[in-house]
Amino acid sequence: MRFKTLLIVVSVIGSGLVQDLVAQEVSFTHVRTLESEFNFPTDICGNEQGDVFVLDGMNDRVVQLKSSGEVVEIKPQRESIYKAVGIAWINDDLWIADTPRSRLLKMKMNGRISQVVKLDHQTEPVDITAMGDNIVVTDRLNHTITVLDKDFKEKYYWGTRGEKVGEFINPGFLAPGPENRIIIGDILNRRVISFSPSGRYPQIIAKPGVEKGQIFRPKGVALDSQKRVWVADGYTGAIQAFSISGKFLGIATSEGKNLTLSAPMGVYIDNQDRLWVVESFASKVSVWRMK
Amino acid sequence: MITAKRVIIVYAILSILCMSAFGQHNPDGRKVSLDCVTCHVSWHDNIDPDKSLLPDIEAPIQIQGMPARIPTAAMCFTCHDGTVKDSRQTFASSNHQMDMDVKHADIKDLPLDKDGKIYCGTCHTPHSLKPTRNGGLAPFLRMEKMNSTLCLDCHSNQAKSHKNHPIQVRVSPDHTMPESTFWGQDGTMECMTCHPIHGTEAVVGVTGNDRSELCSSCHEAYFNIKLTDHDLTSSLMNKSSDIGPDFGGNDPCAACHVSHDGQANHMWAMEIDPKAGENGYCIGCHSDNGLGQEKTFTHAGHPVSKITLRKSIPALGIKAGDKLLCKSCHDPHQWEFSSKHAVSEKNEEGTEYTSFLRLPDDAQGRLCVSCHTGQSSMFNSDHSVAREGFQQLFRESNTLNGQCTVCHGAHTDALQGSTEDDPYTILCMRCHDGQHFATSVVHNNHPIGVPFKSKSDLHGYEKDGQTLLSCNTCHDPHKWGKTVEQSQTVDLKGDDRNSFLTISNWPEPKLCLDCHPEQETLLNTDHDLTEEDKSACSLCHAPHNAETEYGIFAKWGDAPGASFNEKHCFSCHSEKGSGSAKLVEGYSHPREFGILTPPARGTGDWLDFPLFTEAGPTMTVGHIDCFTCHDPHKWSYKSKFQELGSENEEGNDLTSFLRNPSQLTLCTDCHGESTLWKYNYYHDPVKRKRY
Repeated sequence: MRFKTLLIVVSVIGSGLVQDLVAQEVSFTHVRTLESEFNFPTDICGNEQGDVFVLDGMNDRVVQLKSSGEVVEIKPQRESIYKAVGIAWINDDLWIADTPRSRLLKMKMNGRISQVVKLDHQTEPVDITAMGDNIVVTDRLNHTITVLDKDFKEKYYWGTRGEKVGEFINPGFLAPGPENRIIIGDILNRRVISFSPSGRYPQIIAKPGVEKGQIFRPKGVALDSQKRVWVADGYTGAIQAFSISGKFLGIATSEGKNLTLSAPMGVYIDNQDRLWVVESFASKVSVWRMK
Repeated sequence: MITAKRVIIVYAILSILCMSAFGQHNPDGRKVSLDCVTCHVSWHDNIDPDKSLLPDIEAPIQIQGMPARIPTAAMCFTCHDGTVKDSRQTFASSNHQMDMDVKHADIKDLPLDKDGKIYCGTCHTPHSLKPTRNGGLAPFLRMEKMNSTLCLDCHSNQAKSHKNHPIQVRVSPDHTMPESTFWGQDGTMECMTCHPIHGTEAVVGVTGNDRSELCSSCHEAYFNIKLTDHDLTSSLMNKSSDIGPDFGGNDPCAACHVSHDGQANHMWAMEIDPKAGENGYCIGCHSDNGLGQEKTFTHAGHPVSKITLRKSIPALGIKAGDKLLCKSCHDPHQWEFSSKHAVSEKNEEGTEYTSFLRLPDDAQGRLCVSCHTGQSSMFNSDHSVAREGFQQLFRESNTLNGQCTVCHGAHTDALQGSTEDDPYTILCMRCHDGQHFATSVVHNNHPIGVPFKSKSDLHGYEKDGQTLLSCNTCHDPHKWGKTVEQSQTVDLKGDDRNSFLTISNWPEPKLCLDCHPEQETLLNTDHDLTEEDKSACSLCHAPHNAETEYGIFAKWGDAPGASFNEKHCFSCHSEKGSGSAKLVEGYSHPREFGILTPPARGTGDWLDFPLFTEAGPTMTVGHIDCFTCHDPHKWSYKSKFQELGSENEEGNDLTSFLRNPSQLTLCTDCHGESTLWKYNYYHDPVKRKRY
């Protein structure tokens, strides 16, 4: 019995080593580049209507790229979203993680802030996403995950600063995963990991490293129609795909070379499986189509 | 089974060894923690080049011979993009930023990138100081930023002397700098107070070349300079400058001051003559070819630089030991002392209240009296400019009407243009000329312009190496004298106790005797008629407006006598006079006979036998008068009889104010043996009856 268990462990380790040797490439073609005089934009999201929203916090605005191709600037009325980091489309509303002011803002398309959710325990929200009936927020100050109900009332939070599984060092961008799991980029632990909403049943998706199949600065995460988890590496500039169980599925390439983007942050995959990447350091958004 | 177990054990051991070998190591081979590779990305061991995702960076910094690969803005941005810390503002700023060329700096200990440019790691390292909020956040700086230590490591030249704006100095609590401003310990000013390294502005409150907002944050009072003639951006707006300052903008400071690397102290923007010392800042413009050439001045005005002030004068910002400078009296930033508003028009002519004076030369003479405290008593006297007559004169002469500047030119000779040698007389006669309000002194005055000797070294004016007598010999126009110093009134009739005399002439006539000590013999004789307000001299002599030019005799009533001298004597020696006990009933020597004076005869001095005409003393031919035989200042021609035995002591031929012994007179020359008989006949009515 002990032998079988040990054999399984060894097999898992072995399969991991072998898996690294068979990395795949996922070819992309460049669709367009949206610059729109961005100033270190951070995050991106979209809705079912095909509209895409880019958070251009340093310019205190959101830039909307309508499905029609029209680019619209949304300036917040009265409030400010200066230095906000995260943005999400939740239940037909645009929500912004107003990071330095510890709050979440619901913004109408005319810029009116229709709801302000003040977060407790000095949370500095980095990203926000919906997961079933819950709203999940990452916190760069306390290194925690806060879960709110559908009315944006805090239900609980979990996590602490640390390197163990279940601990975080600067949890960053989020994406809703399959089976009601939440995918979190654990930035300075250099890993991507998924949890149940309550923080249990962790599953490492991407491990630390600077080789293909590894992650060094996990930033934006997104799920495509094939349930592949795409992860942007803020330092190497690579975009890589993993399975929800942690299998490396491929690295994004274009014209035979790895995509090397400029400090990629938020990523968004639209209903056409096009990959939108915020290249923050270059202050632009690039759009890629999977071949 | 055993073999299988061995295989498994060996595999497990190898796996553990592999895990150990595949940890992280620095270039020295030491195993490092995961924290290290958070930034030292190349320290990941055994990176397969075929799989490596590391960007191809030519690492500018090496650590122990290996590329550190970290000193790039990209690495820093991976955390400072808002997800860990938000330094996007820093990256967006063009301030002290990556890729900045090293200018105005002497890099000593801080690292630059491979191109010799500044990058994040020049100032920051996560290995260094931990963040602290003691006096300001120190975000992993390589050096302490308090006391500007970090800045001065490269910019040491910016801390030199006063050519740069001072640092580590206390700032007024009334400053209006932004809340986010960095202050040193105890609120001192540091480099980063004005230069927020990663702020939105390169320098707080500076737009282009206009530093008005920044400067006014702490130096608001200096902005009273706006629109004055010292606001060169206004007064010289349309003039081109080839001397450095910027006259083109709206920053009035910029014309004269630069924040760093000034040409001289005070962050001076223009070159100045180093020999001119502290006054060079003023003279640089107020010279014949300077920007302020319309207001040049000569050295005939108030002396500067060579005077060291002995006491502190807070109102002028002067400390004991300071030298007297232009700025002692002038605040170049404020046109008008009492008002904060700007001038009403350009090139407005200055007054005693404006002219960039620190204090006005008003009715209290505040500016001048700050130092010349002893002169303040003048302000309650007839010499005060508050007198109505003064105001009238000012209107006529269009001069400054300050309490002091009415007579004194601060920067020019008040008598500029005059061809006369005696400045004091000219100045006094502006008012005392008989045409204006002041007492006229135009007739029969004490002689001036003559050499004199005085015990007290009285002043005069200098000419040809001599001190000549002038108004200021006897008068100090700033000090009325005893009476008025106790009174607030003016228009008092002066007497020997006051009258702006340099030395009080009462009860003893000290002023007169200072130059005429030989006349002291008058005192205590029967001719010493000192009264309550008149000295022994003043009864007979009037230094101004006298009845006669010779002897400056005071005016007398209609006393009998054939000559002025006789009338003068008989005014007392008459029945109603104070000398009624010594009436001279017979006196007049026949005037039809002219008599040669001793000089004319060649027999001695005029005073041996002074003769007179109707016009006064004569050196040739005259007639006998009272003073021919009598010297009213001496009881006796012999000093041993000078002392009076008692009041009203009867005289004899040794005393009786006789000038000389009878035998030395010239009487016998004409009268021979009948001299005594004639003398008695004409001088003594009692004896006359005997004949």
